Amino acid sequence: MFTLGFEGTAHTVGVSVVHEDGEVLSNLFKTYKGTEGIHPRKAANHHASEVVPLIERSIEEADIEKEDIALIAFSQGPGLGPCLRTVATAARSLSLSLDVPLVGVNHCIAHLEIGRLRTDAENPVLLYASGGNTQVIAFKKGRYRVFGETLDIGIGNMLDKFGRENDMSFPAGPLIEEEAKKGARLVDLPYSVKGMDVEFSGIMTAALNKDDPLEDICYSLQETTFAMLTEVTERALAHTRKDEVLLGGGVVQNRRLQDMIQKMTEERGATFHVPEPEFCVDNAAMIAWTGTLMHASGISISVEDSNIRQKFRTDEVEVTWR
Amino acid sequence: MELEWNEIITRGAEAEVWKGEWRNREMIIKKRVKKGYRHPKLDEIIRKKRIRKEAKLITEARTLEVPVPIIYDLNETETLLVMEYFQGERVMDCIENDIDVDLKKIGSYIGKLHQEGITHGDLTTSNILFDERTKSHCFIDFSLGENDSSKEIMGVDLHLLREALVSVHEEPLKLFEKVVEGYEETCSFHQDVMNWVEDIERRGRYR
Repeated sequence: MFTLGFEGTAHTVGVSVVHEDGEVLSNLFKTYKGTEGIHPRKAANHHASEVVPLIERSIEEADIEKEDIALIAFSQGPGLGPCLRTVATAARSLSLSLDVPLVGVNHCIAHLEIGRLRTDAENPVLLYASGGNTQVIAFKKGRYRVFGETLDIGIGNMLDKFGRENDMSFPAGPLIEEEAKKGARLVDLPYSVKGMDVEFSGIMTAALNKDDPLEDICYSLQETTFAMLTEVTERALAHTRKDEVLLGGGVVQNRRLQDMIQKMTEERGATFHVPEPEFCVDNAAMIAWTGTLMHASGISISVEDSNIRQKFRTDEVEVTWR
Repeated sequence: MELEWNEIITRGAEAEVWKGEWRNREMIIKKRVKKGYRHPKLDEIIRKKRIRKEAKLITEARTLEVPVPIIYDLNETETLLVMEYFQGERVMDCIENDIDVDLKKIGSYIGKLHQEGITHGDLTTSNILFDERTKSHCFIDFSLGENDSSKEIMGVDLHLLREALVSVHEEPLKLFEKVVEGYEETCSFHQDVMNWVEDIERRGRYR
């Protein structure tokens, strides 16, 4: 059985074919590139024009026929309304025309499930750090619970805003990482951990008001915020008594963040898992795979009930497949 | 002082907690360990700041008759704290094992702290202990707390406790209501703080 998955929560529109045994046969995507971040309507227009060719190419690359598709999965939320709606429309239409069931997938949970598929992690604590999302998630009592999260903006969003004020292009994360390599002096920035939650906007403001050389500020921004993320991840490990850390989201591509998490897991005797880059960033394979798991446990939704959910929370989903 | 380090009890996120002995008395030794992932300078600042804060707030809580361990020694250079040994289980484990924890009482202690401007900063169900035999509680780990807190920060305390209940227990809201019941008895400005709790929930992502 093959599942066709659709991702479309933010700047990426993706289509993927996944086999029920977990083999990813295709995982294609196109990314909207705004000069100043993501304009939701423009991103949605981008997705509308890209999604049909992506469906065709994805099926072709998987080397299957349209008729072989037995399930359609789509990212139901959380995310930007216009993007979600556009991609959900494509998913619904295909579900109706092929007459196959439809499953709506929570994007954050999909990051965790693809990590479990692509790495050896079995029951991990996930640090999910991307533009819009920063959460520490783990399975407990039938649900994926959010043990810690940002109380204001996502870490990527913070890096992008900082970058924009410093004339860096979008996304600014990789540019800040390069700049940080040249820095060596720690500039004093607020360190904002509240229990297992974090805050970034105050740090960004403080960083923008510093007169130090840009490389030192970038260096300090990374040292401070990534240490915060590592700390709350470790707190979640201690709190849930788990011993595996999984990374997901675009920001975890950052080498310094990976090094910190790896170091922390080594010191604690826990294991460290990162999926390949194409499965860390927003991708449709994670949606297809999570949809496959959900459907195998008896979940599907009618088109009438398939409204997108911009504020779809991770812990709302009853995990019937574990 | 002659301190014996007998066995390690838990390896938390920041500290090793040891059971030890001093003058034939059972002690808890909390050692804040260096974090290799953190910039050494940042690491030292954070560890020192937190251990100092922890000792200070525990002492202040004690004067308010909120149950906390007695502090016997604070060593800033070694970042360790020697405290009274409290025999009890984490409230989180108690609730999971259907042990009757007095949540209303817990709420009243939090109210006492807040009334005097003290917040805990990491008010999860792992940081409150309960001894079933003596029906007594013990609040631990004040290192993220503050004195002279704003009502918003007090709201964060209650928010964290609610989140901790939500993330592990099946009927979290009922449990939280009991906490609030006790809280209202000892905190005169409880309504202001509860308004902040609602505000913080709304501000959180995806609600």
